Amino acid sequence: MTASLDLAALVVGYVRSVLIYIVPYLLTSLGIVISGRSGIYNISAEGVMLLGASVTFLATYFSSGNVLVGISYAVLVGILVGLAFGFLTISLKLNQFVVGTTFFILCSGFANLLYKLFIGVTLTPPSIETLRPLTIPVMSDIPYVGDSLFKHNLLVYLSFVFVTVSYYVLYKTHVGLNFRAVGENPKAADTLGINVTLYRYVGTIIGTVLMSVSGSYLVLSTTGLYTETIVLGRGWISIGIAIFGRWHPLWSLAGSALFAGVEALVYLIQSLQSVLGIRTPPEFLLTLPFIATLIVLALVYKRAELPQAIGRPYDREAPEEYA
Amino acid sequence: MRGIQLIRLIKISVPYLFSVSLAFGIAGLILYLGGYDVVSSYKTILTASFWNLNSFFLTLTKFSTLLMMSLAFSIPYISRKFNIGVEGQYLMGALGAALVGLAVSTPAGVHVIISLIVGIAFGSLWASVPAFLMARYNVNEVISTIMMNFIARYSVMVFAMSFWRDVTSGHPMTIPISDTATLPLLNSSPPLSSGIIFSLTTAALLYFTVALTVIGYELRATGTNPRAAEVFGVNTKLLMPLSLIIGGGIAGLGGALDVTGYYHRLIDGMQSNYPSLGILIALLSKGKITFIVPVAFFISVIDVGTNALQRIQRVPIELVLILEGLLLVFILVSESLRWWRK
Repeated sequence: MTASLDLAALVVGYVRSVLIYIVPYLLTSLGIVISGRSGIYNISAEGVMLLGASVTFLATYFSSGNVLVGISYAVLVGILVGLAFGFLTISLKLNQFVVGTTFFILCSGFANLLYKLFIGVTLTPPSIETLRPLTIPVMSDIPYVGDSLFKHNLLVYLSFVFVTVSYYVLYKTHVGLNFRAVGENPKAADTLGINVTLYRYVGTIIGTVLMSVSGSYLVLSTTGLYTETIVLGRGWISIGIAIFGRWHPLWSLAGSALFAGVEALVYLIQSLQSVLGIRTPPEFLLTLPFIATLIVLALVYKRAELPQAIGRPYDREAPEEYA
Repeated sequence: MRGIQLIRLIKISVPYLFSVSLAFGIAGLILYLGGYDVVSSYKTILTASFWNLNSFFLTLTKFSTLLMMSLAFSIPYISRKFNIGVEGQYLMGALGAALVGLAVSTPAGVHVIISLIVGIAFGSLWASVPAFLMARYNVNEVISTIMMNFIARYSVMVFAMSFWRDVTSGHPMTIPISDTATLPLLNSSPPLSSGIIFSLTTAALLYFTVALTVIGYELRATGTNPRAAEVFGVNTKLLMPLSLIIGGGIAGLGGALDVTGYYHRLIDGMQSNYPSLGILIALLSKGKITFIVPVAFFISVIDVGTNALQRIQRVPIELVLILEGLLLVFILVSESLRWWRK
């Protein structure tokens, strides 16, 4: 019973699991933010994540545990999905919500189909080895902080690097300025000689690659298994995070921390319950992230600032926008 | 003149035929790569619904479910709202009907009717949360309805494992509802529930509502150009959330019909992938009810066929989802290419 009373260990464990749960939210919401900044509202994240997870699992499994092969395939799939999404929404100017909904369903379908074709339905699902934690020298020796912050796998650190880099590029460089201009006012950007189509394609593809790699992380971080419910709404919640974060990388980081905090809390309460012997149906707790999303959206939506041209295809020959 | 019209008809139908064959071609390629005999697989997929009366009735049952789900998506879609919460609303409708069927005892005729009404009420209540968030806080309905789906899934799980749990089954489900709460059968063996009558009637009623009534007109006006509709006195701020609630009621009725007419109990996961199929049907039909009915029937034929194939040869049922999704993508592409050429 001493374990349940050790507050320091509890806090260290909590912070540690927040950092484990933050990654999928962070990568996916960053993907949504980046493509949104170029004017493409991609709501298919949930499906792309599942496809990334499935492909990563299969590629790693059949390359006898080579994680790099797994992630490379996820990146490749992300590029292909992004190209297809871009072709439909940028070149053919189709409604982004219609295409997004279709892609969500199609990608989820493909993810499960691929798994069933290659693995089939098995009594005990096969698993792959998960990513090993990288212990950062010196820093990891700091008491408490080291255990909670500096003993994670590579993708955890990388996702924070991605956020920083994308913030820097979007807000501190010329390319970033062009990029945001395309999402705010494509006509003005076009007048200035910025290639709207190219920027939007790049934004869309970076977005889907991040979503797909986020799926890889889900498979590679803790269980090493693929299940049909592995994403479990994280892709949709990430859209909420992007809205909460006003399509800004650093605010999305804050939003991701909030939702990772809620998720970690769910599992913390569950483990405390088993220690303390209280029993409630776990399903009540599991609805918490979704209820939290609804509340957060209700609180922030009135003041939400979307990129001005998000969701609208750009047509050079169209008359002045009136929507 | 006749000849010109014929040529025009061919010109219009060529892109669609091309899309259908391309989608079937890619799905066939998947079957081929999966090591299945493509020709015999397709023969099974397309004909299994008509092998015997039993599988034909099963097709009609699935058709009824899919019809309700795509109608639930299409009514909000007419006013440009995306009701991806069909799944949750369907489940809550099913839960409501199961609750009445298990906990209430009234004479036979009344019991079913109460079940269906409670199903509709639960479905619309479930949709009214996103509708309220939209009306009051301007929250985008796509995400809020999805969140409600997840909450509904867990609610069904809790309910199916509580008081009325069927302990003989390893899967979370309730015990059967009382006989008085089941829909009358159209045919006793093989069984066909009268649910299909209800869903076709719903489709007809909705068609006339959208085509002929004031609210239907306003709904269409809102969808075509919300700004113009508002200028001409349509209360779009009220109409958009209302369309979502109506959609929720339709999905709820769908769930209630399946519980009272087909499953006779609440089962965890009973929605399967029908919500996705239903949404794709509505998108394929562009929300037009006259198209939804035949498309939904076609998709249920393919669904029953693929399920038969899964039993015989272990072909994953996701194939239906992919076939339909690809069909939608190719049709969208061919249509926009046609506009583009003009």
